[in-house]
Amino acid sequence: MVTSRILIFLAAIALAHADTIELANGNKVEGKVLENNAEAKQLTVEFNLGGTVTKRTVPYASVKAITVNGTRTVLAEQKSTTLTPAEVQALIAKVGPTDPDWFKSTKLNYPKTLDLSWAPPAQGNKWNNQVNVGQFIWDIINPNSSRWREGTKFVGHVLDVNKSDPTIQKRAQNEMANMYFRFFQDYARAAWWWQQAGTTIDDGPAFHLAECYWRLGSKQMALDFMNQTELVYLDAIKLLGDMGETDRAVKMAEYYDDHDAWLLGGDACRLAGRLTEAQAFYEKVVDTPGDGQNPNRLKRTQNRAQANLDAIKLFELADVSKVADGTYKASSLGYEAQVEVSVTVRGKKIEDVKVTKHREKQYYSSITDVPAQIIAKQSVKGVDATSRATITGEAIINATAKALAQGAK
Amino acid sequence: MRIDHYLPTLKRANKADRNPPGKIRRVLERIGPSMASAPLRRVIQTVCFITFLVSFFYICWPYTARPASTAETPATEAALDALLAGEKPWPSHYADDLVKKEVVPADLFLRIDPLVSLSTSIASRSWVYSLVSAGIILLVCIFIPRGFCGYLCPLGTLIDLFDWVVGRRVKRFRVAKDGWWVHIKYYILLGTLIAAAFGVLISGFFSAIPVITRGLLFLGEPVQTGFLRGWHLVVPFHIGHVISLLLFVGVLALGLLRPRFWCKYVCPSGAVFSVANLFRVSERKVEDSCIKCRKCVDICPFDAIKPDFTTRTTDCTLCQTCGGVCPTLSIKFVDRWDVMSLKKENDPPTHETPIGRRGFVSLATGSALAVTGGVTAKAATSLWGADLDNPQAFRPVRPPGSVSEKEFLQMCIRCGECFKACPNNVLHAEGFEQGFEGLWTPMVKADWAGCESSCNACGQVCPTGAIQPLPLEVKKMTRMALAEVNLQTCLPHAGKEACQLCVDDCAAAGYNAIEFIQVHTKTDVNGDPVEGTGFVAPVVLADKCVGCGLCQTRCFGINVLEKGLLKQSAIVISAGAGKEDRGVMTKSE
Repeated sequence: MVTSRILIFLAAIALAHADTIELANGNKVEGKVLENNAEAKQLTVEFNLGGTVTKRTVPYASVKAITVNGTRTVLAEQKSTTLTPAEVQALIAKVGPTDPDWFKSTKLNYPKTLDLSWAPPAQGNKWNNQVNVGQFIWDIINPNSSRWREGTKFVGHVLDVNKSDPTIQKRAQNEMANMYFRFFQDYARAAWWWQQAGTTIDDGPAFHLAECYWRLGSKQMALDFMNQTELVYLDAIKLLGDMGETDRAVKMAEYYDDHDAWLLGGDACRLAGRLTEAQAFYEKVVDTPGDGQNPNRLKRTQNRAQANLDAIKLFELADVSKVADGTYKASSLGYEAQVEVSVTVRGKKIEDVKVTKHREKQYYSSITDVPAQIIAKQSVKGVDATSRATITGEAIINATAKALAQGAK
Repeated sequence: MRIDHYLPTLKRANKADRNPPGKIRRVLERIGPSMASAPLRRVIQTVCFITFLVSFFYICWPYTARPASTAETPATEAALDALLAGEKPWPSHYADDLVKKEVVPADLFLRIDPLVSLSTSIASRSWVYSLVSAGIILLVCIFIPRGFCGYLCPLGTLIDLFDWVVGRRVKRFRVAKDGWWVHIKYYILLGTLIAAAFGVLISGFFSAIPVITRGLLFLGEPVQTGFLRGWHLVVPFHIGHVISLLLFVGVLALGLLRPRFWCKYVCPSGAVFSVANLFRVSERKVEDSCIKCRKCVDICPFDAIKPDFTTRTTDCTLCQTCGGVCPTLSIKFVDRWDVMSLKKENDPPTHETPIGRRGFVSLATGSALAVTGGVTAKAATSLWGADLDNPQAFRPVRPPGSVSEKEFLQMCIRCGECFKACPNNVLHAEGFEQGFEGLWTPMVKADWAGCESSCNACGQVCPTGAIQPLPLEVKKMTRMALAEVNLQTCLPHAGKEACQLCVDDCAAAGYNAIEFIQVHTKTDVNGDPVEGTGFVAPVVLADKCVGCGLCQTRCFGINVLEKGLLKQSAIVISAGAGKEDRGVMTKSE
């Protein structure tokens, strides 16, 4: 006991001059910043690992801020750089064929009952995630982020096993691209594998490939690729919206004239801050009468539109300067049950936020903390939910937003 | 050797001096005669009582802990990689908070109650680490015979307070003469130890510190929780609580018969000290200047002064109150072998014979009752007990680090300290689920709350080692149970609706022991899955699950209580062979 206290004390002395690195992932680490290279956009940090010293380079992208000698510096956000189509293609050709650094150390893990020849399921065969490769990926790999690395490794193995069969090669290459794209946002490798599979503008993943080009730095390359077709696709509306080509996305959504397209059109407008237009799109989706075909799909789209409408109302219109004087009550689901909040507004100011009912157990200070933050910021935006009581904190934030929205003029 | 510390001793130098009392003495006299005569003892009692209350209501109040977001100092490459990759560091705020607050051990008084460690050690036939502290206190009490009862015991002080507030005003229940009860404590002690020899631990019913700890737990803890955190968090009472409370109230009510009736005649922990008094080196003695005024007999709170004004040495706690009231300063506290100018014994006659016929009869009857009591306790647990050999019998989920069930029942003193230190009351007092044998032992009630990943308090505050004091690094990997999903009722498994409460909660706690599987996917004519159909449903990874119960708490809170979708949680933790890590380690510190 005593020895460990002395060790802690010594460590504290040793670290007295340590710098703090706040990582983008939310963790904080102690270390010594040896070099802050703004040109290469990276830090060189010395870490003291229980006595042994190790040096690491940490890219700006994964660091939020550093505190050196007591001065906290927020590192400039990495501006997305613009590349020419040729540069993007060169990047894809360079990175694409390599394996990511975790690939080698990831264990190959799959049920031995799987039929690696990945035959398409025969008509009438029962669904079996222990035999069919696609169904295994669908049921077990896709839903679990903890299995994404081994899933990618597994598809690599399927590729190796089926070298002589071009159909299965193509299927596996597409899956590989899909995994890099969806699981890891690794656009260079995703693009490379889609190119290997010979993806053209008429194939299913075409707009995902276009998105890779844009994410890698060339919007031009993405647009050029998309312009190879005259047809209007839902995926295209989404991508155009994301890329900031709002007008074109809106035009396409109106042309497509379907509830799925309107939803995407609404999303594009919302992203661009054109809230009234977004609301109009969403309301159109919600008001769509069913035609009997695929009612579940319509219902899902409508639910999403309604959720987005609510979110706009809550967070973008719940602006206290538009709320009439009064006391408003609303509740939102917390950890154990509904958390009820009462909000008092007077003279365009949030005067008071009180948690009036709750059944939470592990709430730490969130019951007092979060309301105090909301009052201090005069807004529900930018409020941190108390650490390790996030669900309760978020429930208070949501309930406050709902209450404010009640009084919005 | 003189160890007088009662007040007039300061004036001993000029005995003849009869000046009116000074200011301090007048204030002390206003509080009460015992305060004026032996203030040091009252001060020590107060300090001990406050220490006990602080350790119970503050050190064992986990809600002062706040999750910290301090910078980490990783000790290995792997730990650094994990931090850089965004893995959340394992939280330790509850464990840290307890270490920070534990200036004195939270279970200090439980450790120094000798009957706690003695009976536990006999019942489980193992070394109990708190025997050391009990040994130390017994050693001290050779110099201050039964000093534990007079100075340290918080239950004794509480009974004094009760007498000061209530007892001295309600006279109608007072008994004047000694009765059959005067030696009952020895027989209770004997009965308890006989039961312990049979492997049945009943000392928790009568031992001083467990009695007051449990009393405060079932009376004070709900009030503290209710006022400070909300009444919805107060654990519902059951018959087990009521029995414990009746016992506690009964102990206080005995004070209506005589002040400190419990301590004098009933308390078996006190009996241990009384027996130890046989080895005393110091005692109260009366000199021949005694004028037989009876002031000392009247004020003695322990009925430890015989009619001839000499001392009942097994009962005297050396509180020295008598010394302070003696007008002739004839009472002295000296070594046992001091024979200087002592008063004649049996003057006036005490009518006490060391061991007459009647004494022998009562000794025989008492011992017989004690043996019967001990054996009955053994028989009761065999007939109406935990039934450990029966795999169908009720098996509660025990706190992490508990020793094997058989040993646990022999080592758990039923003091309730672990309940108090447990954040969110994951640990509940058992009722009669395991018959008489499991009464008041801690069991995890996961419908109520799950075990906090950053906490290891229960093992740290356990005075007997029934729950081992695990470091957090070990505790977080120690399995207390295993969670199992009910495929018939779990909402996504049953195809009813999407729900991932248990998976989210398990991931947030850092265990990642529940993963998803896609179920009820619809296929199109080609046999390809239709995007958006079916649900992701939970699957427990048995090698990662420690049985903390957080998943069950959430499913029960939302799906059962709030939404009314289920009758019971669809994911439930249970204990049993192969589902828990329960050692047979002994506590070493």
